Amino acid sequence: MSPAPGSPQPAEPSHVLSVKGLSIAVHGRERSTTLVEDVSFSLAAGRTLCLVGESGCGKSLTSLAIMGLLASPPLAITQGEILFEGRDVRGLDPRERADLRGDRMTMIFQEPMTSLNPAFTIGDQIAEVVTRHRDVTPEQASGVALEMLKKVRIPAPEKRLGEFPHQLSGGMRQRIMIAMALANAPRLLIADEPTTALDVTIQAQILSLVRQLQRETGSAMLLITHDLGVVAEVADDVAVMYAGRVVERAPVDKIFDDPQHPYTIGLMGSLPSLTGRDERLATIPGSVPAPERMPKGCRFAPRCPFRIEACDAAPPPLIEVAAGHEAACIRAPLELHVTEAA
Amino acid sequence: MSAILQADGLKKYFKTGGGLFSKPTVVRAVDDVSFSVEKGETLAIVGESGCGKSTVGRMLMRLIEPTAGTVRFEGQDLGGLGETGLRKLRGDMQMVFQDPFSSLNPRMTVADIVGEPLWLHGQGSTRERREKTLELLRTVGLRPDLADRFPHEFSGGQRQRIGIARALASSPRLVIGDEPVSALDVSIQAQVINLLEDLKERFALTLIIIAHDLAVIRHMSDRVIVMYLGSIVEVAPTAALYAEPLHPYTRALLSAIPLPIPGHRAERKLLEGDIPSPANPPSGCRFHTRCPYAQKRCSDEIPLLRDAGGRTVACHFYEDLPPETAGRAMGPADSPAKARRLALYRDHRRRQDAVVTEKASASMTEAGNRGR
Ligand SMILES: Nc1ncnc2c1ncn2[C@@H]1O[C@H](COP(=O)(O)OP(=O)(O)OP(=O)(O)O)[C@@H](O)[C@H]1O
Ligand SMILES: Nc1ncnc2c1ncn2[C@@H]1O[C@H](COP(=O)(O)OP(=O)(O)OP(=O)(O)O)[C@@H](O)[C@H]1O
Ligand code: SF4
Ligand code: SF4
Ligand SMILES: [Mg+2]
Ligand SMILES: [Mg+2]
Repeated sequence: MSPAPGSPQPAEPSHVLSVKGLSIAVHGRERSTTLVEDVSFSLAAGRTLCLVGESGCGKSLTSLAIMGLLASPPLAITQGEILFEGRDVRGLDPRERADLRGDRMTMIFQEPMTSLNPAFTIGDQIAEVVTRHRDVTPEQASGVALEMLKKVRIPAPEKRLGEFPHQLSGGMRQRIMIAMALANAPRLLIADEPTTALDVTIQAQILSLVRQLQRETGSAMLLITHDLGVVAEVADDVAVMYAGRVVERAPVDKIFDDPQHPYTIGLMGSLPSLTGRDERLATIPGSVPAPERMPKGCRFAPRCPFRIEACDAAPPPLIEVAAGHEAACIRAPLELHVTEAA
Repeated sequence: MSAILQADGLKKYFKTGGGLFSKPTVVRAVDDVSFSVEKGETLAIVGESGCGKSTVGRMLMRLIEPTAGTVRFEGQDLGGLGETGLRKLRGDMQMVFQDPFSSLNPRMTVADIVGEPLWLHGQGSTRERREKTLELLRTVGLRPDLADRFPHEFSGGQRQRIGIARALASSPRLVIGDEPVSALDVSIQAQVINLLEDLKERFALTLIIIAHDLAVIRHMSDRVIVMYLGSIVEVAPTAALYAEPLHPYTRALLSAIPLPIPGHRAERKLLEGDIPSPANPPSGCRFHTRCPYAQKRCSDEIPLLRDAGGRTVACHFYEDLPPETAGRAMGPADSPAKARRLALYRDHRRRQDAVVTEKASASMTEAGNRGR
């Protein structure tokens, strides 16, 4: 498993995943539009990184790019590296890529029905994932399937093995997806809004299950969500995305206790609180610009209450504001830079 | 306070499937639900998917006929209403839906969508209706010059504003919002929540908010109805419900919410199992298959809503349950750094709004001058 010629040496071998300067564009007939720009983050074994941001900010595209599942054309990676276990996966041929998927790198989607085959039993589908990547007999594979159903705490697992996806509730299907994703003990698990379609009591079950299984397997997890509550519940580290770029990156407690980017602060202020019917919600005015109409400078500038002329000059890079805490805002930390503007 | 709306013994059974050789299944979507809505309050109806919230809302509006039970609006039984009565009712009571994408007619302009209720109720001349429509758009924070565009040209939050403007057109006294902010991103959701609160104040509305997000409900409502599988399990003033949920299901709901506070990650007791099907609800207390406190009596006997001091709860044993370890719904205060930044943010947001209003009124005067 030596690195492909020309690809850089793994900088931090302890990182399961390192995304560096990733940009993704959609190529139209007339022009190309950048949808994800200069996204970087890394993820170590056993850790959970949450990508959080509102609809359309590029969370799913980023994860699909890592999985090698971007619909290209029209989508394409235009820049950057995706190092998985130190190796740039973009250099792999489709076969090698497919070998990784479902084995060392797996994914759970929001809507389990789209990834389950309605024509096969639950047992066959889990067993298939195992036989595709492991040298096992069909009996052994069925054994793994049964064991996985027990692990994801499906009641009466022997009976469920022979059932079809449509016979299960949404929460059960999501458990099946988790069973399939973890059957081969992957190094990296990507979960794209795995509980968004579920009721809150079922969501709580699934999150606690995923956390526990992750502890057992030591997998790294990239969890995509727009729910700050879910982030607080499961993340070790957080990357906040806005309009295709990462605007803030920090350990989870820093994001919540020391939010630095005006967008992150605005999001916190927009959250209705469970602790009381307090003051009016703070809001972020307006809405996200369309990808083809992104501002040249800071993409948050049209909505930002702290905007000054310099914000429009160039996209602000991520700057370290404290150890391990980065924000892409030229005025962070705010209390240092905005007082005189009053 | 007096009741503006009263629901008594509401039931809705849906028959589904069934053919030549098979019996249809009966889904008991709503099963004997009674409550009243006080004038001027915001009442929330909460519960998980399929518990019958929307079906209740639609029965209140008479968009569907109840299988049994009555709804009275300002004392009048809606069951006896004919065509004209119903039309008038739809003026007094309006609904805002969850999905801003499918609830607006894609072939109508925004002005037509918002103005339609005015036209339906035969209010004013064409000119007056146009005026009122533009005023409504301003009221919900949309630029009147966008009036002749179509819904697809608007963002989700803007479409929800269009839906709200339409609901306000007939000057309703009661507005029912069925998940009015659920489909929206957090930042847009906050805008729409504030808008609804402003409008409620300004037009002295009574609001019924159907939702599954307990934080949104906490923020917006005065009183909460909790439903499970077609029945009401608890009714309480909002603060009391969150401070001390009495029904085991309410407790489970509240403890299942992931709080946006990383320090609060302690393992908690979670509900086991799935929500049973309303076509085949459990006997007795419908929650008994998942209730950690269930006893023999629970599967035999349906618990009725009982008075629990300013609130009601439907559980045989709520008095005897171990006290709820409070604190989850309380959470610690914001860190100093966060509090400071939020204060700074709010302060600058106000200035930002002031600048925008100034610019808008400047350009308005300009347009006015040009018009002259
Ligand atoms: N095949 C495609 N062609 C053109 N644009 C696309 C395509 N797929 C995604 N996009 C655009 O790329 C942007 C990012 O999309 P992405 O699906 O990554 O968002 P997301 O953050 O996952 O949002 P959500 O929370 O809604 O799932 C969006 O503006 C989207 O419209
Ligand atoms: N027209 C219908 N025909 C048959 N069953 C229906 C119909 N409408 C609703 N139901 C069923 O009635 C039950 C209650 O549905 P309802 O839409 O009121 O739930 P809800 O609480 O609003 O759920 P959600 O949170 O998912 O919107 C569900 O089991 C649903 O499948
Ligand atoms: S760079 Fe300027 S516009 Fe962008 S977030 Fe910071 S203050 Fe706001
Ligand atoms: S009546 Fe019994 S099953 Fe129902 S909530 Fe109370 S204790 Fe639980
Ligand atoms: Mg997505
Ligand atoms: Mg509903």
